[in-house]
Amino acid sequence: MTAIALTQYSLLPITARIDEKPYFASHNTQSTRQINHKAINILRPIAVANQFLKIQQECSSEGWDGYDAKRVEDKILGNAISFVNSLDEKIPIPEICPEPDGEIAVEWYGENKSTISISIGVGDIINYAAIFPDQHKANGTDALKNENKTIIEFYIKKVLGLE
Amino acid sequence: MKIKQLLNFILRKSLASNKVEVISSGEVLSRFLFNGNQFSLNGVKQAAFLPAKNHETSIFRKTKLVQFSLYESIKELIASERGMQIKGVALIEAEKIQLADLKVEIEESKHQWHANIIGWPLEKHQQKQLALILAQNSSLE
Repeated sequence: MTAIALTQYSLLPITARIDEKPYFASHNTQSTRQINHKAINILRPIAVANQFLKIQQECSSEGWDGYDAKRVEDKILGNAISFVNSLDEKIPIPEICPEPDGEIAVEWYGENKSTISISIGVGDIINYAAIFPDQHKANGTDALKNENKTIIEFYIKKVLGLE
Repeated sequence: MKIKQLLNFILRKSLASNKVEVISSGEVLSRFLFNGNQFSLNGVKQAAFLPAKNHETSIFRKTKLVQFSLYESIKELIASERGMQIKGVALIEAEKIQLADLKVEIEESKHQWHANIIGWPLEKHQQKQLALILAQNSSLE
């Protein structure tokens, strides 16, 4: 998927479509819920791409942070989309944040300032760190394309209070 | 350019006799943020504190700068030097940095009342853990 194609997708009113809870609430049938999940699954990579493109535009030159940050390479987009899209559909779309080493972080926030931040770069390794609502902490690395995301998903859900 | 040099000269002149060598635990430190993606409604993000290539995070000593009525001047000076607008400022007490097993080291080769957060581990995931702690204990100005 090219950046040009994604720019076209980004014209879709993504937030509005995902947040159409009243519509789905008023049609609260099993089939509609399935459509809802499918719609979010389809929109998830587009929403991530939308956020990423904004950051990529703002951080496309060295020193974007006012210090000596590396530019965010557009190669990261594919990695970020495939990672976020591979997560359990119950996990909401993350916030995306650029980092000084040119990687981007996908982040989720929960109660008591709990946070999980996962760094995605051009390589095959992701770095993560979390502070959970009970203030316990965890950090480590994982393979970007690891099909078993049990631990990462558990940490994200723990931050979000879904566990 | 001349205005910037003059302002820097005045700052250095006025501060020369007031140099403090030790940062007390209660001092408030400022991390100037030039990119709006480094904070959100959820507060300051960990990326705001991650170290630069030299493994240091640049900060200014707000408590001292305010004490000498120089805080706004230094913000203008730094923004002017970078040619960028300061989009936000993350505030954190020196004590919180020390509690995260990091250190604050005075570094005034370019600017008075400047310091660096040092002692970062080499592994990125460990850096992120400490940056998360700093972000959690910081607030937006």
